[in-house]
Amino acid sequence: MGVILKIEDLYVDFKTERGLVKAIDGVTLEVKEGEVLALIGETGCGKSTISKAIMRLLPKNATVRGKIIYKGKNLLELPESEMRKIRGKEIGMIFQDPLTSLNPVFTVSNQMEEMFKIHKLPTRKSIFEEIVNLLKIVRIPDAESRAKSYPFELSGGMRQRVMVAMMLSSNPSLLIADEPTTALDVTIQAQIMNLMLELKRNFNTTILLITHNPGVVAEIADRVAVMYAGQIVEVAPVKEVFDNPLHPYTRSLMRALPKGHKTERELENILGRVPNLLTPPPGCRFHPRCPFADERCTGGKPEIKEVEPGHFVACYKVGGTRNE
Amino acid sequence: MSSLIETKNLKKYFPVKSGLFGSRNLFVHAVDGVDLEIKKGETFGLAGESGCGKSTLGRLLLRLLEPTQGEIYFDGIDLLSMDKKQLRTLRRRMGIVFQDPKSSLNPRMTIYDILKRPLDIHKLVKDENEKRERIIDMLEAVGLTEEHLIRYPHELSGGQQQRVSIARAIITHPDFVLLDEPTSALDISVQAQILNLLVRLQLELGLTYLFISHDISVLQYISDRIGIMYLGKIVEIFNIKDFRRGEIYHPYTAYLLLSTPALHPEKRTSEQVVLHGEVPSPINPPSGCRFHLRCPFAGNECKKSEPELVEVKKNHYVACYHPEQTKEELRPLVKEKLKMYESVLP
Repeated sequence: MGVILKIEDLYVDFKTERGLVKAIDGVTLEVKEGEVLALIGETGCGKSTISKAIMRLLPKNATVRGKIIYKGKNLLELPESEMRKIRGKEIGMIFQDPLTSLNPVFTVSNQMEEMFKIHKLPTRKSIFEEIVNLLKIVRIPDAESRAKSYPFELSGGMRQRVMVAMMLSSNPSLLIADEPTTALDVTIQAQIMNLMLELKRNFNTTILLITHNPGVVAEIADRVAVMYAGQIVEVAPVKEVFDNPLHPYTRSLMRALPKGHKTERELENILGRVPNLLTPPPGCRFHPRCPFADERCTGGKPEIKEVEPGHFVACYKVGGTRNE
Repeated sequence: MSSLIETKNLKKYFPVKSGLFGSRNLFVHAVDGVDLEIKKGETFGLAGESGCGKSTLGRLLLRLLEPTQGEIYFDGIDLLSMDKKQLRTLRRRMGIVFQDPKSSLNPRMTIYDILKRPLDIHKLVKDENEKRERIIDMLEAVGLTEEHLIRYPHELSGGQQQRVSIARAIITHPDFVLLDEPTSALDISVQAQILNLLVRLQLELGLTYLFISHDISVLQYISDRIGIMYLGKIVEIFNIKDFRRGEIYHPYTAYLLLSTPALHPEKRTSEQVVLHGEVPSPINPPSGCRFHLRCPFAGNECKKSEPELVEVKKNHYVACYHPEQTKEELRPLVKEKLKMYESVLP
């Protein structure tokens, strides 16, 4: 499998009134062609900042250093006119709340038409027929009349399907899905996740899935990257992350899942809280909450290393985690 | 165990205007005939998808909403016969915690003032020093400290805010606490802390919980019994032991579990078991069994008349014409899925 997207030593800082927020602190990550890579982390860990950095949609107060290489080109150095051809066409994106990503005053087909026009996409039949066909692919019932509906007339699951259909129109190589099912009910969530798996199977779409929900990760990811406070702490195949997590943070997260019953076990308590990124702790950013931390962890930031084939961890105490 | 809360044929319809100039009066059937019993000291979990009426039902139980029809008893007292003053006195015995702690705490009040209000409203403690002591005790019980007293809600993290909400709900020493999606807005690690806290408080204070959630995984961890709601009706009530054994009699319950994201990659939702379609409109619920449009077992009788909630085995209630078939046919899938709750790391 080739590498479709490579993030190298990425740093993102935000200038704010209260000082410099060091949101992304040296992230290196590879997304392989045809895989579903999940980027998982809790609120404020920087996972959405990474997706916006890839799309070059960060606000003006952000400074970005490092490289984001997509199919051999460093996206951070492209002129905006080139980037516009990639954004939405080569790299598609769906967001958490489809109501705010659809324009409320245009019908579904109006806004889908725009995709065809902006990216000058080839159509076999009329654009409208093409749109109806796409809506059928994402299993929107009664596609012809739905194409003429406004977003507010559709349910949440239906809106997310429209987003997926819109994204499909340009047949992107890479799809960035930022919390695509978080606003949906579980039965609808399952339908959307199946749809994403179909994309991967039928169109060989690579998916970078950004989520805070380990359940969604377990459902569709091939590999998982775990983020904590702007750093990637562990990258591994999905089964390894659930069965053999090697970073103390990942391990605690897995033990915090509501498995078992209250009469049988207490859930894992990770002490303390996520650090303030205005003044992040030195060294490993997890060390103030880590039961294994010693002087080394407060000194320098641990490099991410391959400790088992395909299993990368950024921790000085990997052995300790494993033996405990 | 005796019951703390009991409802009979409880209904709540919300009027909606539709048609030209609001000429037609329609009703959202949010809660449409619920018989429910919550026993003293238990955690009753209430699950269902958005719009099924679970939050409306919760609010009816505290009479925060006036029911359209039906009866509600709190510790044997007929809640609907009470006047405002009596109700206010009784409310000392009921607490409530909402989903979003940020919007349920007054941003202009310090934590001290937030926790003092229930004591003042119910005139529980007169002496100011005693008040302060009780507030500090309560803060410590929920894992915060005296130094949080002078803080404002926005200075706290989401988890800490939820701890304040819990402290506020229990500071009057209630018997019953309504927990309406108390962990849904929180990260997994914070959710774990709050769940642990709720379990501990229940043991220490002998509380009874109604825990409302859309997340079966959370409910299976914390509940003693679970009720499943669909379009304003309770379709199944069971204890956690039956659930663990895969004894599920209503197809909706089974599909809700099967659609829940796996907590382990080897227990993925198989594509065949995904429930098709969406929840119908509660303004005009389908005839017969409300689930029949999405149900794989639906027959003619399901379209015609609505099944009653009946006791299918001891302490297990289901509203379905095909409970045995559901149980037998879906049990292998259900049992396989339930294994995702077992693989806890050593």
